[in-house]
Amino acid sequence: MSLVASHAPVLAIIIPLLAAPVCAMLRGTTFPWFLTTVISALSFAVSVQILLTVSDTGPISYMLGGWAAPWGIEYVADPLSAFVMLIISGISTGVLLYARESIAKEVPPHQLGLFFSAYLLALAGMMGITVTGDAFNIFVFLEITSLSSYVLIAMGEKADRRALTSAFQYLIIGTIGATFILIGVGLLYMMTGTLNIADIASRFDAIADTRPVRAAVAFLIIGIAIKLAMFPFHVWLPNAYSYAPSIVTAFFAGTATKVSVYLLLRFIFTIFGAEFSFGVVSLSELLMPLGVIAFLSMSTVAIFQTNVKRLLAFSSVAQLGYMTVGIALASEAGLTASILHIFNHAIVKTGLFLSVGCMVFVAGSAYLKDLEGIGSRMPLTTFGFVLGGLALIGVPLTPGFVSKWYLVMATLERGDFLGYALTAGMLLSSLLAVIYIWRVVEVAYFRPAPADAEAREAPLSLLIPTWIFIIGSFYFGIQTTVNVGFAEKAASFLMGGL
Amino acid sequence: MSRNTDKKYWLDQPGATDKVFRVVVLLAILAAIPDILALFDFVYHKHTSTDMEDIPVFYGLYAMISFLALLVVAKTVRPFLTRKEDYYD
Amino acid sequence: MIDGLNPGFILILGALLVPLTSGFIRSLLVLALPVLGFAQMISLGLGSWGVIDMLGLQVVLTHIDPLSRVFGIIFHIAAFAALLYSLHVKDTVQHIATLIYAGSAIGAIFAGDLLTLFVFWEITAVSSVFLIWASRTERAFRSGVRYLIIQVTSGVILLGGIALYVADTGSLAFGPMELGSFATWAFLIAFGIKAAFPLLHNWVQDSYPEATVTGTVVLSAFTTKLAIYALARAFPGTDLLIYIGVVMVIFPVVFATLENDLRRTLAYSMNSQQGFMVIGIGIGTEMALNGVAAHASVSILYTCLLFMCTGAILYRTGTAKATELGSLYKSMPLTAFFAVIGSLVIVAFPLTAAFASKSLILSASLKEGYYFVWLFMLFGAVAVIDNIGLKIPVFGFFRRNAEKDPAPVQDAPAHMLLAMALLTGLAILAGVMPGAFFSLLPYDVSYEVYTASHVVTQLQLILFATLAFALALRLGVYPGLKSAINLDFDWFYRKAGKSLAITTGTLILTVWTAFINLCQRGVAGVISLAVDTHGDGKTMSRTVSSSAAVVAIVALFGVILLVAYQF
Repeated sequence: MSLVASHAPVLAIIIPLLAAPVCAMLRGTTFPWFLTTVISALSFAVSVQILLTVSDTGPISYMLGGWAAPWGIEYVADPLSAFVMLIISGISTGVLLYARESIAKEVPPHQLGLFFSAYLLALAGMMGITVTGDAFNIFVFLEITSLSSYVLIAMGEKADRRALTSAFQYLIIGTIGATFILIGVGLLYMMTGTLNIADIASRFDAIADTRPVRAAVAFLIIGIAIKLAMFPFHVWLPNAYSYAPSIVTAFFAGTATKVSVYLLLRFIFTIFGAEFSFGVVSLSELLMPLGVIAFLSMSTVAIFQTNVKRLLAFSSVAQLGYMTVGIALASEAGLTASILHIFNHAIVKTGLFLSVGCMVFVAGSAYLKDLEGIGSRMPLTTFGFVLGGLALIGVPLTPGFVSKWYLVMATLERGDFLGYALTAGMLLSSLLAVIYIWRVVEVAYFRPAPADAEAREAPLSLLIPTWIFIIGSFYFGIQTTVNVGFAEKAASFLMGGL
Repeated sequence: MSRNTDKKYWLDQPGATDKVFRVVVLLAILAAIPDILALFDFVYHKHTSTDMEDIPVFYGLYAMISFLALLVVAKTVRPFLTRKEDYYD
Repeated sequence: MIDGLNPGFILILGALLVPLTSGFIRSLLVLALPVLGFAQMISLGLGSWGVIDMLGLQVVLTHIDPLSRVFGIIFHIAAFAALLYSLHVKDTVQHIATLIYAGSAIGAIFAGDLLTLFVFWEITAVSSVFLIWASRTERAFRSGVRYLIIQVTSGVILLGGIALYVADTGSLAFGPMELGSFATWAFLIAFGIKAAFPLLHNWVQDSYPEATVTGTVVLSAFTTKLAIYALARAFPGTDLLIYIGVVMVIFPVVFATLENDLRRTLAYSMNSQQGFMVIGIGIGTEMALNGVAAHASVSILYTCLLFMCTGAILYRTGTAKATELGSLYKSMPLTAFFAVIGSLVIVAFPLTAAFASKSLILSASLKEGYYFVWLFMLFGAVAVIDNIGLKIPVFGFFRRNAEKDPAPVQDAPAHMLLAMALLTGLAILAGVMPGAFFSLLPYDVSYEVYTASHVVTQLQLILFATLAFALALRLGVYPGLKSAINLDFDWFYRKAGKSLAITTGTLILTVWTAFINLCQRGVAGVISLAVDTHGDGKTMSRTVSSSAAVVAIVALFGVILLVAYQF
């Protein structure tokens, strides 16, 4: 175990990375899935191990190949990255439990090996982004993630050909984002002569006033914002989420954008430093309006959607707005709320997309008109969706309430007019969430089911993982010590470790 | 208790109320006598705390005046106060 | 007995046993409880028990001193008599309410601090309303609701006063206080509501006549006297109370004169008699306070007794309106006898208890030089002679009905007559042996009740008032009684308040509707705007072409670059 423990940061990436080509060669419907699930679970176990170690003894540093830090590549697991790794691998494992029957219906059998191979690459990429302490390495893992996710989204073409155009649009915009990030990293490298994050951070103050660094900030913020689907860079997200296979949507909804939030936190707080980001270049004034427009405007858009997956996708953009606002508050309370919402939204949104996946599995469509009376046809699934919806709205006893509570506390902490206005805006946005969730409830319960529709629940292999997420989200809404504790630790680490 | 309806009641006799009235007048006069006698320092000595009490039959007169005042006030305000019984319903 | 247990708890806890019993056992239980409470009180003697430290404040569950003991004795007697009077009642709720109400009143008397007082104060309010509702008529229900609102308001004001008082002084002690701070004014108002101060008095006349036959007897004994006790403890010697008391003596007698319902007449007169006690508290000398305690006790005796007599009339004939009664002495001779004795007590006839108690207050006022106050009190004394002393026997029992005497009825049941006899006996006993009676009073004051001049003057007062009454009847100038409502101060909240509320309500509704319409138009505008911009396929939710997205990205990049370069 000591060998595993000492290599834990790299194991979390190496395991899925090496398993990916193996998976690509496997045939059949069960083997690739089984291998992927086991690998993801291993990765999850390692993440748990890392998080526990980090919270006990502090950040872990791992020198790749034994090369010392500024020259070699360093992997760093600190409270924030360990927490995000846990979320990614946890969501991934949960979604994979659900995947076997669901994906067999959406992807041709002969492509399953390749599908799961891409899935593993995406997982490895996201874990890599999170754990690496090297700026260029971030770009590499970002590209691994992006390329595999274009593939995964395009796999939805069997059900809807529009998956291909969505994937293509994501490819164009995502590549621009990645390129911007690469340019930003390049500029930083030019000015500091190093790619190691800690090293850049230590030299940053000396070069902070130079124009290339200012340009680097602009490139990096825009690049990450695109990947994060921050309003108005979200254009790729609704289509991608709508037409991707169910499990891909569920997986990405819980992880992909969260990793980008992590990147934003990492660059703003660790590399630039809070003082520079908010004091010198006033990112707060830039991010705040975008976040507010996101949660107001995108919640409104969600109300008018006819496709439940697309509705939830717009809701995701709105929820990312909350996280953006939390960061833009530039206070420890805001940061805690933001990191907490990464976790809470991940578990809630994944649960919702999984229950929609159940509906798609049985009803064959995610359009509201095809889901009339689904409440009586699939009572368990629909009830799960309603519970998840309550969590999304932020009803007390749900995680949505907990993170919104922290966010409201953080805005009220400002004590100025803006603080109250933000609070009012968030309450309004919650109200909009009530409306868009109610639209689904109304269709599901108060419209008669079509006469020819058969009443059939989704198979247990879909239902059980869905309910694990639903019940899990309520668990973390009531017993908040775990998620709030880690979020607070990560926030205070970011603020203290400037 | 007798439920005898034929029983004659003294009060039912004609003139009974007159008799009651006469007794009341008599009693009142009797009660006033000590005060009259006190004028001549006879029999009984009055303990007084106020000058008013030195007026002969002060309490009796005050009682009459008070009652008169009460009746006048009551009859004056009555038209303003009295309403039908279902007024509040 | 249990050491330090507040006697009130014996009645309150005993009430919980009542539902488990029936018939003879229940009668025994309800009569035993006041006796047990009385024994507990006597065995405790004087002192403080149950002292608890709560957040730095001292709570004293039981405190017995000479002042509270007088009230405790008379409350136990009243509770026993009232329960004896109501033995025929089969309604379990009434028995429980009576016991809890009497128990909490006793508990409040023996409360050693303000907080304990408040708790019992509120229990009296809530438990007693059931005696009004027990009539089970629409009128009684509405009257009960008004009663409850007013009583609970008194409690709330008391609680507010306590909070302020604790903030001011850091103590919960319930003792003499100076009127000045908000806290003490709140206490005065809270006590004043229950004591039926002028303009705060209407709940008495509104609700007592609506309660059941037995309920009125119970109600008349406790609430107002509890308030007198609280005033005597907190505000002795407060000049303001003298003037309040004078108005209180005068104001209700006019209504008592005009009132046709004998129970409501009694309620008004009782109110006037409360004024004597309030004046006594305002004078505040030891003699005056002795008078207050004595007169409160005697007042409970005769008020209960007369409510029992009028209650018996109501119980047998179904009405207590003077105009519908006549010659009842023929069929209810014993009740008539007790009514006459009760009347003699209330007019303070020599050899009755009130002769002793009322003269204490009158003499105290003269001694302190309050001559005008004394004259007003004499006026009140004359008024009560005519309004109660003569009106109840004459109109209730002896006069022939102008049209037709009601059909003969039976005399009151034996247990009612026993209760009346008990109170009559005590009232006479206290009048015959004033020395023993006075030895129970809080202060040691020597006072000679039976002087020749006192007896003679009192007889003059009574007999000339009777003469005037007889003359008025004979000359036909006595205001003819009519079945009607006499407007009192409650008009302001029952009529003016109501129409004001309706007018304001209509106004608010109009404004509100206009406001809502405006809002609806605004919201409709926002919604249609949202639909136009955010609706399916509209600007905000449209799938933008990649080139347009890239243009937007580059534009925003430019903005950020500018922002970043600016500094």
